Amino acid sequence: MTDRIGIIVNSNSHIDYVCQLASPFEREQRPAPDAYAFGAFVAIDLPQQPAADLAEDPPCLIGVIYNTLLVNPNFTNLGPRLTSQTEQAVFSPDLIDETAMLVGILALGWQDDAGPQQGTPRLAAEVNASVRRLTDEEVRQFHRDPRDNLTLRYAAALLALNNPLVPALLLEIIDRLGSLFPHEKAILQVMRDNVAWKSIVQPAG
Amino acid sequence: MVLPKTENEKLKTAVGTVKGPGETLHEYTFIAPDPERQLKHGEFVYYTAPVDGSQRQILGRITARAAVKLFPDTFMANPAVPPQTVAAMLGYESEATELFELTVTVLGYYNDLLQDFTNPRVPPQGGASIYIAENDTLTDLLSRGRRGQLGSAHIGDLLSRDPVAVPVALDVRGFTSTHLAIIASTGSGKSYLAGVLLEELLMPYNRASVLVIDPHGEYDTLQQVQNLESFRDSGYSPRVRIFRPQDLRVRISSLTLPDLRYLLTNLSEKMHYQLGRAFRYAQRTWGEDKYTLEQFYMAVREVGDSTQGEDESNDDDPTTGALIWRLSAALGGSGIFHDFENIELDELFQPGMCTLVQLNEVEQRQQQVIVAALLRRVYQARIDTEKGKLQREDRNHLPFPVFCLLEEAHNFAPANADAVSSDVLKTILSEGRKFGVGVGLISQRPGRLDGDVLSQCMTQCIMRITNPIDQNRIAESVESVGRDMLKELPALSKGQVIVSGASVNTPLMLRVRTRRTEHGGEDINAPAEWHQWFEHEQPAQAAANALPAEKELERDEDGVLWA
Ligand SMILES: Nc1ncnc2c1ncn2[C@@H]1O[C@H](COP(=O)(O)OP(=O)(O)O)[C@@H](O)[C@H]1O
Ligand SMILES: [Mg+2]
Repeated sequence: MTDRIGIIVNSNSHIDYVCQLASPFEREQRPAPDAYAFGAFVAIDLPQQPAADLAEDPPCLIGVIYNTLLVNPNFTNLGPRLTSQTEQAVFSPDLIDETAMLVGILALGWQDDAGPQQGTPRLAAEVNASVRRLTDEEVRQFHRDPRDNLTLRYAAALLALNNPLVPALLLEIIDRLGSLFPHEKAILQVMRDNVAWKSIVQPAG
Repeated sequence: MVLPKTENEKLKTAVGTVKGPGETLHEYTFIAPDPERQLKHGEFVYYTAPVDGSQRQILGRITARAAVKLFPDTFMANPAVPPQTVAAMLGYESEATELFELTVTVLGYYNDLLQDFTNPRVPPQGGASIYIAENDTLTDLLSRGRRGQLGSAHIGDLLSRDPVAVPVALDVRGFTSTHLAIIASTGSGKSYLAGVLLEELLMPYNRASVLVIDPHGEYDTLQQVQNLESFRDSGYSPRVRIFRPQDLRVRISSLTLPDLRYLLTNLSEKMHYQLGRAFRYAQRTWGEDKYTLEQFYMAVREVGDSTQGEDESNDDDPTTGALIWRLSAALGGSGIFHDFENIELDELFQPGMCTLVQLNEVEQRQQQVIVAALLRRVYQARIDTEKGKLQREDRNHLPFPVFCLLEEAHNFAPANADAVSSDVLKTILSEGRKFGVGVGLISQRPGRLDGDVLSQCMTQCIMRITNPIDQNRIAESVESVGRDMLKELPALSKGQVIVSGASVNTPLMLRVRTRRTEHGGEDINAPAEWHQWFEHEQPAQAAANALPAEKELERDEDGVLWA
């Protein structure tokens, strides 16, 4: 088991990255499905500043997985095939390689020498940058401001994206934070109700 | 160390920024965070602008206040979680969480020449700073009168400021010549305010001649002014004279035909006719105001229907008999209507004297007739004196202006009903200023007060009013109070008053000052009196009832039970 999830292969905007999960054929194992589930927090490596000495914590973007896409070139080739699936793995390995699982990541902040920060990051990740999941402790750190209060600065930016997946994403995040910050449940509940009302009750009404 | 700001330093810092012109020419809006909640409705603010080459403060009054930035309702879903913390969690940590847009009605700068505010007629520049007007400035500018000076009536201080910070004095000349109305629901402090006004009128700097029509007999305590040092001044001390119902006298011959008709209700056509003829007969035969009730009976008989023959006794004529019977029922038994005595005007009116005419226990129609008769005489006396028809030695010579305060004014000039007093009141309200007769009307039911009467009072003191009908009547009849102030009416507390019109420079919300004399119109404290009864009365009664005397029933020989 590893915390590494995959690598950045594309981006749609300054904060919206596409990560390709390590394929089952790579030698290292795929992470547990939980690691790249909807709402999971991840870190994307940032290029090192040339002058910087090798800090113990290299700078990274911190983001959340908000989307998943399966890529399967076979999907449209539904004609008869001479080889069976297992034979195909032997005879045509590149084809297998072309089926992939992609996850979309929204960058919610970053981490540098000054510690974790929420907000729109200044720096961008590069293609092939490594993506790994955050530990619970790291998630907790990311949601604490310098005065040790729970903070959720990125919520407004997320909501502003107008992505239909965002409300569900926020609810997921808030629930996760609720278990990480048991003392701040009341505040989170106000925010959760607010989002839930707008995304669940109002549209149905 | 940071010293706390003094009151004046606080006032010198800008509180807001002009946003732009308002809906009308004399309005503008400004934006302010107002963390200390100073910008109350009715507060006075100013910006500076060049007027004729010098910077002047352009004063205005806040007439509306709306929040332009508020927390979303959903942030307040949990009372235990303040919305600020939710906002802080989302990254909004500023202290400035609220922002208000305030509408200001411009009064203008004070023009010493005109003794009034002049509107510069140009809205302030967007972005100009707004300041709260200083107490001293307001004290100087708002009231027409100067506290403690000739012709001023200090009735209270500005409600939007600390108590006593901005005293306000009315211009006595304003309301004594163009009349005054005090309107409010019961218990809002009308009589209290009237008491304050009367105190001011009796002060050495006013020395007024005032008459109070007091249907509840609640102004007795005003007599205390006679003993208070603050009302005296080298040789002057005010007098308060009380006419109790049993002291009142109205000479029967001073009643007019309408007065008589009003007192004798439900007369038949025939009786009306005969009464009119008898009245004219009496006036012709004995002269105006020179006959007794008996003489009037004679007049009734004299003009009576004599078709019955030459018989001496016309009493047999049913109309004559009924009319005389009515007259004697209405006037004969009354202690007030009298053959000879009348209260002389010089007993009622004198500078430096307040006369209380107490009408408690007097029947309402009689009250109306008494008031009508009184007002008519005063008014006529003033006209005749002013026109030089009366000389000093004449009986009704009244060589000074007078002010009459009427409690329960809706009884004397009711809407949609006739009262004998209505006409004379209306005449005085429209013509009285020429002859120096001023009227102050007090009423808790403006809706029941004649609308013309109300709109003729050029100084209005309006206190708390909850009844919507009454609020509408005020909106209709009182032009000088802005709509914004009328909205405050139900929200005013006891002892708070909106004064507008001829005696102030601009409509003001005031806190009525404390009376120097006691207030007389206190309600009966029923629980306390019940309690009292158990302590004192009951033991006495129990003792009296200790010996129950069995009363023998007495019947006479016919078996009738006698009391
Ligand atoms: N300005 C005031 N300061 C203190 N008490 C007041 C004031 N105005 C009214 N009150 C009290 O309120 C009560 C009712 O006032 P009153 O003048 O008799 O009401 P109204 O004549 O309007 O029915 C009185 O008991 C009086 O003492
Ligand atoms: Mg009263």
